[in-house]
Amino acid sequence: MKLHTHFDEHLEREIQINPVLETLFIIAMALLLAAHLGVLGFQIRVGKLPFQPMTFTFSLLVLVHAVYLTGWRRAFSFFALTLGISFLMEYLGVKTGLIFGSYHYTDALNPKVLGTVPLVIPLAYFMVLYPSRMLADLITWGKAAGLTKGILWSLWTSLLAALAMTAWDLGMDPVMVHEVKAWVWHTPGPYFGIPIHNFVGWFGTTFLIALCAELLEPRMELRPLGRLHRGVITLPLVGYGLLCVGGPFVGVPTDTRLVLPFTMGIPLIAGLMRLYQPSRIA
Amino acid sequence: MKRSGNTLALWALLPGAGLISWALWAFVPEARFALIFGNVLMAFAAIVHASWLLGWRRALAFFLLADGLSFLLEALSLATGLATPYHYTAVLGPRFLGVPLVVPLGWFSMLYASHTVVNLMVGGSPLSPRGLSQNPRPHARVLGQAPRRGGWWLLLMATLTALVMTAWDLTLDPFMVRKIGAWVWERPVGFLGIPFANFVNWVEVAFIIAISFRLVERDLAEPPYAGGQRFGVAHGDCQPGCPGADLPDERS
Repeated sequence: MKLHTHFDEHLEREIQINPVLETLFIIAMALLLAAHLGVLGFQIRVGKLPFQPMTFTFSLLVLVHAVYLTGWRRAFSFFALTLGISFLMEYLGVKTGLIFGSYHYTDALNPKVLGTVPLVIPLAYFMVLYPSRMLADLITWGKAAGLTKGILWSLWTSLLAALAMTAWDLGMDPVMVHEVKAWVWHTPGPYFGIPIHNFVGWFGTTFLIALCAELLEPRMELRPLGRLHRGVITLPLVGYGLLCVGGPFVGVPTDTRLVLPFTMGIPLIAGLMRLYQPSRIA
Repeated sequence: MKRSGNTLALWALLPGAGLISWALWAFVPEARFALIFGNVLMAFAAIVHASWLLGWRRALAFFLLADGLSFLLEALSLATGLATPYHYTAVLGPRFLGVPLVVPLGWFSMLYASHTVVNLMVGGSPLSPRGLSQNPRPHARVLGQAPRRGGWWLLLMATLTALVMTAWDLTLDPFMVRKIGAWVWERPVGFLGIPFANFVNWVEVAFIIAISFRLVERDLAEPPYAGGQRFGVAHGDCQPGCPGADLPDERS
């Protein structure tokens, strides 16, 4: 495999790439995005909420993107970290009720792993936490990945990533409870039937995953498989944006339709502006 | 010495204003008084902070635009009912044309905060991007660029400011309506009893004020700290060699 040395303008460092591999990855991501949009469109026409197929197509797209942007080792360790911690927390959460409050999953999102947590749940954590971390990195230093400046920096970016991720749940949890009936809260809480405990649990879980990734990544070199065009960097943010834009259309109860454009829209627009900021403006 | 003294005073001022309001809120039985007093205090803190950060000309422009436009648009929508019908009660104190006098003050102080937050998020500096906010003539001369470009970028920044500002209203409006009774919606359907149109109108009003200021500030004197090293990361982490790094510091 012949590698070319290339100065990447986005990362501002030299990277080693193989043009054939780069092209293959971009084609794979384009096909996955097309499949993702196709499945979404089909399910919406059929009148179903496309939550499950969306999670499968989009988490795969995000995984391919992570490999392209950060290299095999970083991508798969983040993937394993997210799946492992989120499954563990959800499993303990269902069994003990201590992490998110007391709840259980119905059969709407089957199949379940170990009869407790649906398979799509850890994948959903992965597919949204990845763009959330990208947004946190973009807002704090203008790059999509790859910088850790000590423990304080890691704490702040993990905090921001966890907030950008939990922002999604403010619209998603009510619709999954009242419309899809994917899980049931044993004691309904004050936020459209969702306990506040749930959001604390979401924040804690995603903060823990993001912080572990932050602490792990300096031990693994950032090794992109291709040049970081803005168009390629944006792909996972498109998925984040689709979830945000979906809010005003699918929210149940209808009150919640207001929430996502603000909670998800603000970090998304700020991150995109940081990414696309023309250099002459700064 | 003088600068660090000023900085210290400012750091004491904004949290101090907030603390005093909260203390009044908690300990003075007449909540209405605390609301009005806190609002005035916040606006005072914001105008002092803005004069320090932006210079008195830009601070005054921000104050007049935010106060004037928000009052005008509130009074218009009360008079015509075109937006979505509502009216203020007597809770927030004296009213002029139906608008409590503290309401435009609240628009000013929170919009100033939103404006600064957006500058920080997008540009890494509390000041607007220099290439778009300084006097266009020396800008054009030094960089060899035509003045008055990048208007679309101002639109985006103003849109984000409007979203950041309106995000506050997601909790402010239900609280002020259901707990305080400061204003009343004639058709209480939407988000927790607040019409959806209210939030759309908030975005519009905040956008109009934010874009007006961003357009006006270009013709006003640059902030005292612009181009200096006061913020460390001022103007997008500009290192020697980046565009604009060769700009002379006009105050030295």
